[in-house]
Amino acid sequence: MSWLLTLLAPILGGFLYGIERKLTARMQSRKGPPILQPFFDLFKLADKRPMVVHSYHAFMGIIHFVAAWVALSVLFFGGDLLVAIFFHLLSTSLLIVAGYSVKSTYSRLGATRELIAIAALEPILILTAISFYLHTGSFEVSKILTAPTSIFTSVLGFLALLIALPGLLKKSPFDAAEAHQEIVGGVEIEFSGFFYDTVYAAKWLDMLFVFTLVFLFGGSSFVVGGALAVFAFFVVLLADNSTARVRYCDMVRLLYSLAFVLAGANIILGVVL
Amino acid sequence: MQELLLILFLLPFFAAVGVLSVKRYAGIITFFTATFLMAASSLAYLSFESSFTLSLSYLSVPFLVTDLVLLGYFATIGYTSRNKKILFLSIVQAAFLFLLENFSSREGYDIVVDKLSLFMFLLINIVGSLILIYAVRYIKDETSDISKQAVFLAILTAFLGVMNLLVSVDNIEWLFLFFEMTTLASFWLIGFRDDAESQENARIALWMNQIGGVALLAAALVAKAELHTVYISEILTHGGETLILFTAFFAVAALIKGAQMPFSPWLLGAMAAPTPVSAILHSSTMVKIAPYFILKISPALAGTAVGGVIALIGAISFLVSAALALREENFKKILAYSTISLLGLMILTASLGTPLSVLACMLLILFHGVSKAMLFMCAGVLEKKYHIKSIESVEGLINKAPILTSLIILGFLSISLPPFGVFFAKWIVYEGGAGISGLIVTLLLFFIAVGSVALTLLYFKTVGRFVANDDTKSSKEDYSYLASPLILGMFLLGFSFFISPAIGGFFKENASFVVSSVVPISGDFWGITLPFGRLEFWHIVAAFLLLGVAPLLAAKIRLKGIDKVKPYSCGEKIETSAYSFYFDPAKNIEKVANTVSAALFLLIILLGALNL
Amino acid sequence: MIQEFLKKFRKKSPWLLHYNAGSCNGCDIEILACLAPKYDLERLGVRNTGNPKQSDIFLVTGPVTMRSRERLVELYTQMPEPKVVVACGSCTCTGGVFRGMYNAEDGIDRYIPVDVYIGGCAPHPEQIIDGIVKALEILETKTKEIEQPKKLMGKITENDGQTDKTKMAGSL
Ligand code: SF4
Repeated sequence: MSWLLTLLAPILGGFLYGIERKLTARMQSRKGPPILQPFFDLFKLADKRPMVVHSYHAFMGIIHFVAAWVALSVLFFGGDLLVAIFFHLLSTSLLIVAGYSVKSTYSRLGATRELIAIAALEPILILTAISFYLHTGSFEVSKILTAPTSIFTSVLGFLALLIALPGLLKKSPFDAAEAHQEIVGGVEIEFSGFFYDTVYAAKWLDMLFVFTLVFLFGGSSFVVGGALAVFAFFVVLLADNSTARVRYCDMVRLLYSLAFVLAGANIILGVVL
Repeated sequence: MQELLLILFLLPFFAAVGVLSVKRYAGIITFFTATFLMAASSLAYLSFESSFTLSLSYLSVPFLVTDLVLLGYFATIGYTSRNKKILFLSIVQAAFLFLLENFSSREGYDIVVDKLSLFMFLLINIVGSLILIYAVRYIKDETSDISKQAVFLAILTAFLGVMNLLVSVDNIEWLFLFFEMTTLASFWLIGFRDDAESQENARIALWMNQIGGVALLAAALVAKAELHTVYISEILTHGGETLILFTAFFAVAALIKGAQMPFSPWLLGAMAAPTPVSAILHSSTMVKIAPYFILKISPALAGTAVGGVIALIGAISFLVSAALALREENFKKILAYSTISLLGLMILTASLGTPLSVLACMLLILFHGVSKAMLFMCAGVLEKKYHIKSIESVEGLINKAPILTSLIILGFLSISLPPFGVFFAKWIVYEGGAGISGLIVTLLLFFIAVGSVALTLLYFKTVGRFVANDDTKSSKEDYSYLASPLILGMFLLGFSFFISPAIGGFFKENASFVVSSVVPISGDFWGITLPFGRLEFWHIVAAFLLLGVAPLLAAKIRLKGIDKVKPYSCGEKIETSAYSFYFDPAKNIEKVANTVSAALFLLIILLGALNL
Repeated sequence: MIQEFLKKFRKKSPWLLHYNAGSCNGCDIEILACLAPKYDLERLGVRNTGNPKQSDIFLVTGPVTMRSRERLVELYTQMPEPKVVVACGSCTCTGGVFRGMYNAEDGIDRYIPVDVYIGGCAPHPEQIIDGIVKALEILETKTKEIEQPKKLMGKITENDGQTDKTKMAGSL
């Protein structure tokens, strides 16, 4: 099962992204692209004339993709949640290194913003992991998935993660790191053709990673987990379509004053009660 | 065993004398001393069976005289430089010493070499010796005056001896002597460049560390007056009522040596010293006295209010120094701030006193020592060979000096991400910390979570400057400096493979000794198991491949047959460039943190006196 | 074989680079209308990327003012092949209402090869969609050979416009 999930991860992620684009379109009462659109994009990009800024940059994109896959597989193989989160950080940091390595203003700006976004989001992820421990007695995903559902006891933690989700998925209002209209995609900007493929697909994997985290709130009851993930998916899309981008420093402020406080309160409640 | 210890204790001093008398062969003597020390410390660790004890009570009087001479010297410095603080503190210390003589104490073992000492020996002698070897090359570029070179090397060599003694003495009066000697070494070496700025910084370091000396003497006074003993092990076992007050004073000395928050200026100022000094004294060995002291008293600290406050001071320093470093562009300053920050984490973990956190602390001590020594040595190369001090001017260095840059990048990665030691420490702290319920620990976990991302932010922003690459080939790199950093780099990379058996064996053994109970962790080649989590071997391999191998490969491989294009710049052909970002977290965060920490220092003493 | 397989997807995911070479914004509004719910270009897989390195269709509006010429050519050369150029609006095709003016060139085809001309001032969104569909057909037949921008008709003087051009762009 874990093997299957891990191997199919990019395909699942692609579908998820396709569904997301379709849903976004429906929310704006558009018809929207076909569900398979992300794969079309992928194949088309592979067919472009390859060009790189320098080899190091292009390679780091590929490594970023592999690292994102590894982070996901740590989750799927029932590994330690904190380790998975650190692998997630690792994969993002590889992209950041790639972003810094080219002499391009947008790319470096994007990398910097990505770093700042990490600074705001990573503590929340870690606190989420700790709250899982408090309510299920383990950091291991395999054990969390056999423990009773923790959504009722850690509602605040779920809320915190929900607030952080747009940041993790680089969606409005917390998409300053990518900001297509402003800094033209940030770190992604210098990738093209096949090399952009890897970064593009890594985004799907990230998406899968994040929603798997949400799914874990369901514990042993996969129905609850699935429902929560779908709910979170909708909420994120709704926020994406109905909010404007906030500046990156406001993003940090908001995430710390809302999500971090909520996650912290959740843990304190868990410890006290 | 005895012979090895004799080498560790005395060889550095003889070598220092040798270096001073035969200046021409200073480099060679230092080199051989360094190799001997490395060998001796590893052999000592391997041949260790049971604690080695030695009573040398006839040395008490000469040591007391040395103490007084030293204080007299400090007082003269204070007098000649019109620095009232130094003068005053020297007199206070002397007064304390005389007070101490009024109390009698029982006989005991002055020197106790236990597992913790041997652990410290490994760090001091292996990392320290590598820095010595590096210093031999470095000092030639620093000054052309042979006698000055010899003095420099002699102080550094003798310093290793002092450190070796410091981690093995059990007699707190003697401990004070060695503590002051490290302060002296710090003072001399910070002022080595002999300009106004370094003199000033040296004096700051002197008086701040003297406060630590006073605290240590106060601890000794408490012990001697109440318990009639000067032996730390005895105090810790039969402390009773006064134990907490003793640990409070002892911890204050440690926190000051570890440059925790209101006392951080001395370590920042210490960056005026030549780089090997920063590496050996101010990052990898001397400041490790702080966590070492706390580890020594950590069984007594566990669960006390004093322990909680110490941890809080560590946490504040951890978070605030990391955040303050974000505004610096001087490479050595960044390293200094990050050292203070990680020392804070070490102190935090040590003072929690749970088995897992002690293990994490030991991991941090060793791996931070290795990584920081390497980074400082690289900083020295940057300064001497490429005349770079600021991280803004390193752009393109990756093409000019690929090995040096890779080492720097490796150094930063190794203190933030898996599969390197510091990551494991953090992981264990999170999992171990979450295991203990209690509001204080939870609060500390928040500090750790935010502080470690602040550090990650700092490291990657710095790494980002170093990877900036314009894809040009250039002339050959100068390798003459790189031997020692390369060895440490290899060690970091190689060791990451054996980290899980090492944690399950080496670190577990040592930490179990410190907390005198078995640490609930098991590690073999296939992974590390904690009570609530597990890390598999394939995680380590994957992280190693992704961080250790892949980027190096990426730097080597050149894609053939693929067009190179310019970066996007909105269709303009202007040369664009973006610098790193700097920001002041909040205007008066430094002031607030300093005030709060200073209040907490007083609180430690108060709580100690109230016996909480 | 793989090439044949991948080729099929060219027309299924055309990504746009929209560049305004000095248009009156009439055409830009119409392009936005195409992307908006009523006409919804995204159902064809179109995405407005804003980044030449990831685009397939270069959608240009405006008559090419003196100051936008180098950018036009620069952006064009930064797009990886296969790529098509769509000139959107009368003034992009021929100069339109700006034809013969002192500060504008007469259409973009003196600088870069144009594959599809969309007339109209401004063209109706349906026309634009039509043009893009047409462009997709052309895209399918293209190869990965490097396409060069055309020779200039007029010469760029060192300082037309107000700024020193020599600093901004190399000689074309
Ligand atoms: S074609 Fe007409 S509407 Fe379009 S840009 Fe030119 S002048 Fe404006």
